[in-house]
Amino acid sequence: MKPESFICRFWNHWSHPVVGLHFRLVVGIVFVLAAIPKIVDPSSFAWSIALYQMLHYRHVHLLAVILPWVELVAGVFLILGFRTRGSAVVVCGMLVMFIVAIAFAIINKIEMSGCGCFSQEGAKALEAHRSEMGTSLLFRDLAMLVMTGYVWLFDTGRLGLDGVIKRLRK
Amino acid sequence: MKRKGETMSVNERRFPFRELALSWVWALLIFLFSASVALAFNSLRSNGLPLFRRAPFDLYTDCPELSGELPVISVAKLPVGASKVVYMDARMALPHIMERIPGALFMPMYPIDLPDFSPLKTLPKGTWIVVYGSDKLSSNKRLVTALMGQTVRGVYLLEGGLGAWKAAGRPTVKTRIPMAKVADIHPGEVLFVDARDEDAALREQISGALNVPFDTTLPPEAKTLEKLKLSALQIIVYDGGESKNGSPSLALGVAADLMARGCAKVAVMEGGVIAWKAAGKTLVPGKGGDQ
Repeated sequence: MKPESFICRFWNHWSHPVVGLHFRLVVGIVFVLAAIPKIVDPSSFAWSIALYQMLHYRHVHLLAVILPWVELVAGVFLILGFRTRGSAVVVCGMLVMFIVAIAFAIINKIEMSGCGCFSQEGAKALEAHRSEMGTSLLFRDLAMLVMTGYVWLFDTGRLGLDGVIKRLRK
Repeated sequence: MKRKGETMSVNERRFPFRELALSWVWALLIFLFSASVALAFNSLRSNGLPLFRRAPFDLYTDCPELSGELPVISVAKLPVGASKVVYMDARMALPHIMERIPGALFMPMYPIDLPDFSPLKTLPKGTWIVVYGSDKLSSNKRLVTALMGQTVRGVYLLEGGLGAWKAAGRPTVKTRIPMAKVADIHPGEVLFVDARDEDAALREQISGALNVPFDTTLPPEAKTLEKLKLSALQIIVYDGGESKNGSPSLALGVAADLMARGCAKVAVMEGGVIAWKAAGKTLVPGKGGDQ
């Protein structure tokens, strides 16, 4: 068997959309759950962004208005498997941004009441989860980045709306 | 899904380069779509945010006892000439008067007493409070802790203190404490303040002098301070006149304290009681209490 052929077979293996579906559901649900409280109360989210001290205060509101909707749309698209790879790129971009922000806060020893990833209740639940599991926010985001990266590379969206649209076109 | 033994289609025999490249275009479209929805939703909702904030954030931080660390801010993050940033100097009066950040509030952290936090009530909402002070005595950290204990929000410790401020090329204000020679002082036209301890003042003092002992543990008595603030006369502060190992004199400490607290026309009498006696002027026994 040619190496190229082996890689192609691996790349297009039937199991990828199945694994990808699970990853999509996990990341998508997390993003939708994270987006809703931010959309409901954008001013609280603006505070959370300001706490990171990365952005000039003038631009904090703009990010607080737009970011939750990007999270929501990308999360819903991931769950539905609609424009799967495009949504995965958006989610990857946001996760990289979150990782940089959290790393910035850790390096600069910025005192924060929470990461601003979820609502206050969500943050408390996450904190409890974190102390139980012994993981950090960074590892959580890195894990989601790996999952979303997998979706981008290997998930064709066959088990989602992309697959349905493709079949209908045929 | 393909099972083992099934043949692969032509599309499945190649790398999905086109799909991966196209995903970036779709990502851009998804972002633009989301941003448009977000802006439209924000403009329609009743509690929509203004897109560009005009004031700094009054940042909330945990209570230091709970978090274990205090919020710090570097000079680089403080905009030059920002109207909604207030600086607080936690040091004692003498270093405050000698050099301070322009407009810094005098908030000395005494070991056993909290400063007067009433000026905070006049600050506009959303003001950032940046504290600096003595790292050696931890007055800066204690003031931040005290402010946060008063549930004041948006409090920061200035990283590196006044040294970092000056190193960044930011301006400072220096005030010189005026000195007065005994020969130039006319007792009827000035109000004397005795900076020595109460015992020394009771033994002998300049007639009519108020006793404000130099103290690094407590602020001056509010009643005496009020009297001095209201006085239209020039305030002459004196001490014994002895220099102890080149340390700042008691009179300088008290004069600086009075100046920092808003007393006008304060000066220190050169040479103190020794110079006063040498000029042939008399002293009287102190009365003690509120004179």
